[in-house]
Amino acid sequence: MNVNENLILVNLVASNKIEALQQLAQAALKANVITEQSEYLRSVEKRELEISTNMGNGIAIPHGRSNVVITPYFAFAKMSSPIQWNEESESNVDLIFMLGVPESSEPSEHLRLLSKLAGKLVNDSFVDSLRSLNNQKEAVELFSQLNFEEE
Amino acid sequence: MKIIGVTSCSTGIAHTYMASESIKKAAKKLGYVAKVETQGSIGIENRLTSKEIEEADLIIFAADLPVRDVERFAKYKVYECATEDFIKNSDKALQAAIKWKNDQK
Repeated sequence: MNVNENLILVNLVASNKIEALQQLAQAALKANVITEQSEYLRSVEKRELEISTNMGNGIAIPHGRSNVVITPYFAFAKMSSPIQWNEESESNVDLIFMLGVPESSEPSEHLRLLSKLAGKLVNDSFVDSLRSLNNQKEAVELFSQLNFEEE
Repeated sequence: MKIIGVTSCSTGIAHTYMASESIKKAAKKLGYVAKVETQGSIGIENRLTSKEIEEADLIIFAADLPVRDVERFAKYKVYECATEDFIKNSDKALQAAIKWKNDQK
């Protein structure tokens, strides 16, 4: 799948969840996939209140549906050190996939890829390879080689 | 054992698909094959046929929203849980579903 390297943050330093989300949203703004940060972050928080996007295994998939999202996208961060995601003593998170989808989005190839990506995160060997990424270039390469054939 | 499932969530972007893969992964570990219908933002995928529903030994709804076209399952008993149950611990969730099925008899 094609990825915009501006949306890939490897060894991101953030002391908490909000900081991490803000940095990812900022990257999305710079990459021109959203038009505005705060409105987008509100949609992410709203979803987070409905159900935690901490999926366990150190992975979180915060996501928002908002009219400030221009095109369905994902941004990825590998944290330099794990951060707490929930107040409750749930597992900490070191891999974050932030997804954005326009408010009124028709089923599209982009959306399909995002759904496949979410499914891929239960694959332990894929998650291991995410954890062993050293830099942005390796991450872009890993994502570009990603295929979603049935295993 | 033939296992089938349906997954859904409110935005239909992440939980639906992680739950679907989690069901398949847990089933595979036990030597079973599961087919899971996803009801997400890209519509219904891997739609279960009436034959598959009829032949299933275990039907799982890991759904945070009401299942669409639920009348297809009206004649059968369904194990219902949340997407999170399978995402957080798929082995435990599948074991619970199998235990539920065995207790039906």
